[in-house]
Amino acid sequence: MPDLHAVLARARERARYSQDDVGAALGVSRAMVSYWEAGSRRPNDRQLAALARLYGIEPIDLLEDRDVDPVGGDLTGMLLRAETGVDPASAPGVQEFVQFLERYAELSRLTDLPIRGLSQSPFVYRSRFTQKDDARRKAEEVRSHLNLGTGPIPDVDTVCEMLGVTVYRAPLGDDLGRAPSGAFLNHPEVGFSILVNLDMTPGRRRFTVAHEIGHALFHSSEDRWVISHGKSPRETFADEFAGEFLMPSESIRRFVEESGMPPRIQDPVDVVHIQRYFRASFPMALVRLRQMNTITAATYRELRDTVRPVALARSLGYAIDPEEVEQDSERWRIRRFPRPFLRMLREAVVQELMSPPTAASFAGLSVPGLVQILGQPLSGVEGEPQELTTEFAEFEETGVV
Amino acid sequence: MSSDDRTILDTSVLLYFLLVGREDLLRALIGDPLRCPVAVYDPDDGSLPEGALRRSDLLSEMRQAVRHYEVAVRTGDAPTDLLDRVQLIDKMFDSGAVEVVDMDEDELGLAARLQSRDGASEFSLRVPLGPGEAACVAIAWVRKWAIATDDEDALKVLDLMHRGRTYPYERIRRLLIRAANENLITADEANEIHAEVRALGFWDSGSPFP
Repeated sequence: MPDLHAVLARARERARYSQDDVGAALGVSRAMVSYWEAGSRRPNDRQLAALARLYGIEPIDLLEDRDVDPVGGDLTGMLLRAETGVDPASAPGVQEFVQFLERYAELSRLTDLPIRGLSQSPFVYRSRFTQKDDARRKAEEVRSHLNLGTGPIPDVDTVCEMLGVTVYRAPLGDDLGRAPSGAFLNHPEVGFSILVNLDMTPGRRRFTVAHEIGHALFHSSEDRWVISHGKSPRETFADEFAGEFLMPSESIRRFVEESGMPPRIQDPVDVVHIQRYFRASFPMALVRLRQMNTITAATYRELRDTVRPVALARSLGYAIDPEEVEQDSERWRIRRFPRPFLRMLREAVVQELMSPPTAASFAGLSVPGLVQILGQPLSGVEGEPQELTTEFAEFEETGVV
Repeated sequence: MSSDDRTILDTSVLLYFLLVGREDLLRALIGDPLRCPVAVYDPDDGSLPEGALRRSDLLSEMRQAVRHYEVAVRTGDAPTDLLDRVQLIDKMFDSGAVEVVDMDEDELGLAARLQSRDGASEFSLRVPLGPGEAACVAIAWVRKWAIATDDEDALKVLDLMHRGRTYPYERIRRLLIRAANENLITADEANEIHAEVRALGFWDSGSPFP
């Protein structure tokens, strides 16, 4: 067997990881990674498999000293070079995103199920859109294309499915100055694909999906990939587009008018009602209202600094998502995957193309996680509420069915 | 090399016996200590720093299951006792009831082959085996140990390696049948345990005593 230590060092460098990155991902010190690469210590069997997975290669490549490029290595490199000043700590998340896309393409080939991915924008594009009005018009155009009307969008992932855009979530860091909020990539097999930074707040993540849709639909003919970071006309357009797409100004004005709110909003209760109607976060609603000049700069600052929006929403009778109280990226372990991918994985198991444990390993899920995708209960038969039986009886016995 | 009646345990069998709180039965059937490869259970990945827990696919398979139930309990999708049961793996290791088996060079090479795309096509699999299954197959093959797994793909590989000859293996249903035959439990209890693991998501559609 060749010298493992030299192979480990080369594989890490090809995957563009520092020893610190690897140590952090595997929960060992940088010094331990250094010992592995110097040959004075050896990773255990689990760590060896984990290193191969992290580097986007197979364990046999390490054991047989094969100089293979990591899966999607070129795309990862291109994405990371797309923007200067991006936090190097984002690299593992970007790598994870690209590796996921490669697996998705592989799964599609295995199952013979097509990925209905968009690879060319259906929207007319003649020049770079940078103006505020361009963003508003284009947001209206996209809503009209999807028959979304002007109301709230309950689920941005469903919008992406309708458009044929793949969304994946991975941690990219929480340093606001350096961490990207997301990225867009036109993958050769998967098509338009969006990466969302799982380290940001739920409200910001929802905004990021809409922001990246803006890049995908209006910048993809010029750029095959975009890392959303920093300020530029292109970023400003995507921000404006996202705001208009999720909370159209016309629709906000109508809601304010029909709800009997004053044209100049000052009451935090009104902001909470607007926020909840549009399924936006409180900060996003406040920012949109400020952008539209519906609140003054002074009110914006006052509400930002004094209101406890979750407590206020609860007192007004709104249901509160646990993640509004405490951010919990662990809850996204399965939901980080796009639903079409999970459906395809489920199909692969149902058709017995792969066993449940193999499918779990393929996707990087635990066995119970895979079981959850198969639609199996996690907690035994006692988990379902009695009310379901009662409700069926109510429908059936009253002649509705 | 001949079999010394040892069994290497894969995640599926270990996990579901723990989830139904019948690790005592598994120990009675397999014998102490329960042996599994480090890819199935690594005692060292129980106390990793936060950063290392972000990619759970880099953890051992049992630790991934523990992490899964930690979240499921937090979100109200699973009761606390399921988490307690799966976490029992750490106590079992500490008490010596679970032993981690390190692979030798031959086993490591075979396990790596089974985790590769080339290896998968050699054994007519669509995708390679996961690290835990590959390690169990490698150890079972090289040491002539029995394997306890409910992974069809792993058993398919062993079938091909043994070229149709019989080899020792256990599955959850077979273990329950054996438990009833050895009067460790009744047939009804075997069916009940099997129904319970199925209610927890185990994919076997049969029944020990139909």
